[in-house]
Amino acid sequence: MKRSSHRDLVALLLCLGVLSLLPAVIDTRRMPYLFDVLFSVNVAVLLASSWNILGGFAGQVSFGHAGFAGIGAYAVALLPHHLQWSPWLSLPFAGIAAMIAAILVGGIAFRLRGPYFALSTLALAEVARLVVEGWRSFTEGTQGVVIQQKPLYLFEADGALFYITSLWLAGIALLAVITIGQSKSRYFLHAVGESEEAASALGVDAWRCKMSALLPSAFLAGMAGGILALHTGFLDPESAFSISRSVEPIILTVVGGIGTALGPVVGAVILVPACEFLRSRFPTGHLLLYGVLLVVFMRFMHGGILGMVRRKRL
Amino acid sequence: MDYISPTSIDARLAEEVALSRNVIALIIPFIILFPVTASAQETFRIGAPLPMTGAGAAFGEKFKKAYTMAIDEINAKGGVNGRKLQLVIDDTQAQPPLAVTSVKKLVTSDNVVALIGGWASGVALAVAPLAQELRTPYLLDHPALDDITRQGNDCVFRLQPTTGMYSAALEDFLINVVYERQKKPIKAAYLYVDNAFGQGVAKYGIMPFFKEHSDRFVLGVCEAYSEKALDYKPLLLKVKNASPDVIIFTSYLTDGILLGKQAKEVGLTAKLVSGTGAGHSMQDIYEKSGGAVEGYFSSGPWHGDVTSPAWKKWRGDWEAKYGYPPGEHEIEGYVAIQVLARALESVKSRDVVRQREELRVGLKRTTMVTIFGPVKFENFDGYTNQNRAYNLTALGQWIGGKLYQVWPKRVAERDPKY
Repeated sequence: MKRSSHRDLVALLLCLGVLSLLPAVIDTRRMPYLFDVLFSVNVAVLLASSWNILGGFAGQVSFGHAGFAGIGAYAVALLPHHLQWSPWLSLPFAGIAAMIAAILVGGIAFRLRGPYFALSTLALAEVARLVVEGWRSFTEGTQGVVIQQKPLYLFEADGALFYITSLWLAGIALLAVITIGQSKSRYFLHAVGESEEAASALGVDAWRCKMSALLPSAFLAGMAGGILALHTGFLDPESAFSISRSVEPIILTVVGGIGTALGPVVGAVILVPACEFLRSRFPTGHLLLYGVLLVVFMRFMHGGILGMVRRKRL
Repeated sequence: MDYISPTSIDARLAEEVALSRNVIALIIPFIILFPVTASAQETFRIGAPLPMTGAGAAFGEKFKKAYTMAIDEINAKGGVNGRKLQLVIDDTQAQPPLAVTSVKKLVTSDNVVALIGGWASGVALAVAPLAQELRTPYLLDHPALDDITRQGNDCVFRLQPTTGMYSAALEDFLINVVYERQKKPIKAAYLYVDNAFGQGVAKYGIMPFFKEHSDRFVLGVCEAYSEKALDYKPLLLKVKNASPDVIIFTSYLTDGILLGKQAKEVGLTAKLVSGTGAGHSMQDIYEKSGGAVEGYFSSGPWHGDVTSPAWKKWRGDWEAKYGYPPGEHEIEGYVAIQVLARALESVKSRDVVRQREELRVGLKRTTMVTIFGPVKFENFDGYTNQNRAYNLTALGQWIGGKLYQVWPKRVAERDPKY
């Protein structure tokens, strides 16, 4: 590992360590709303970073991250439901289930050229929703599944546990992004994203390269869906595969700075609390205001917030 | 796209870290400070997690009007124990994950003494255990899925009938009027929206009824449909080919409008067509379907004891204030606030945590007769704190653009056109 990688890893661990101490300073029982917002920020970082690996670094746009997140969510909901497992111990299976779905989608769609992968991901979310709705005996269909928020060994399933778990999951996502960003495969992803034909002509295995981005991306999206479902305590197909969950990571990444390691973090840290603030202050008009905010970002911050700040510095 | 140059990744990353650190540093105080809005209150705050945007916004608006009207009336008379009521609405977009955040904000930041509403059963299923955990009384006035009050939560109360009770008035009419006139087995068809509400009405209401009375009714076409579909004609033609005497729909508003319009277009008729509340009891279904639902029945939570002078006065006041006649949602929301106000009379403490506990006890002890009917929260048949609302259902019929209550006879506004 290069020295800079060590430095980044230490910095990341230090940040996570400091942020993990927040529940020790602020009582989560007195301020669960604050920790709920922070939890939402962490999940947004996780989901947006997972999208960024695929859409930002590999240039493979996914319009169906809700599919991976929803499959992960159902893994967390159904394993305890049928096998009486702890929902917390089911969490890693959320990522694995999403990865299996990614192998099925990517295995076929990545052999094709053009926009087929983007369309496939869009279809994945819809097909997964229809399967869940139709397979009532296993998934409870449209009635949804109640997830019991049982404690994790000695830890109570409270805001602190959700906050810290989501924080470290977001940290893992960031580490994955930084690792990919500093690895040799980053060059291959960049080349395939720019021109698959040219990269293939130079000997790059495009399919393998794209799959190497899709699998961690799907895994992290599945984990995001899983922890969110566990936090909500109830899951139904409509909310699990909601189109907004596919759009949200794209918006956060583009606003923060697409193709940059920390763009999704900046996007999530700014937009999630802003959205929550508007929702709580303007219950009927917040979506309009949020839309205006996004238009302003898009119009005046080409390249995202990081891109704009960088241009100002130059 | 603004890709990182492959030759300068380390430098770019270091620069990103520095930039992000500055940007995030500006934001963090904002995150930490904005939820801290709670202050000492001289009012009783009532938190309503409602869908004010998205597909359920029309219903959220109805409940907002109902709560506002009831609160204005109570406050005009001096409030409760000298304290005014204050409504705090938070938009859930009918999404359970958002509802969880909404409720935490309402309880811990807005310091509400009680939660009310929720509209969608999926939202209520997520909110109920959270209300229990936060020890905050949650009064349901519309989410109808039976399971919500079957989880043993002593902080969760339900005013209105459950989904299993929605079709009670229709079932009574089918047996005592439709079958009695025909005196031979009646062919029926049933289409229901494929969501928690539709499944609940089907599972706890319609299906058990047809199973129990299979000697008198033959259920032919029985299918769930997607709420998001736009073309229901193939399904309606299938029903038409079966020539049923009775057609029952369980629908929300948009699908109910489309079903009504398209049924007219394909020439689907029957001796009796009925919805089961929800979309079929809303004024919009008549207007936006261009009157296609004229003559349709709708069985669901009744619109109150329409024969009582108190109800007639309330209806007049409502129409004067909002310009349209109230339906099941309006009366449920209005009465829910009255019930909370009655229970709040037993709240003496100034501390909001104690107030919630006093209110919970107050709700449990509440026995009152409202324009919606009698209210008493009891534990029975696996339910906890459920109002025995079996008799609080009625059959309405759309006649000349108005939904008249036509069955049971004792509360009928006019005779049914059948």
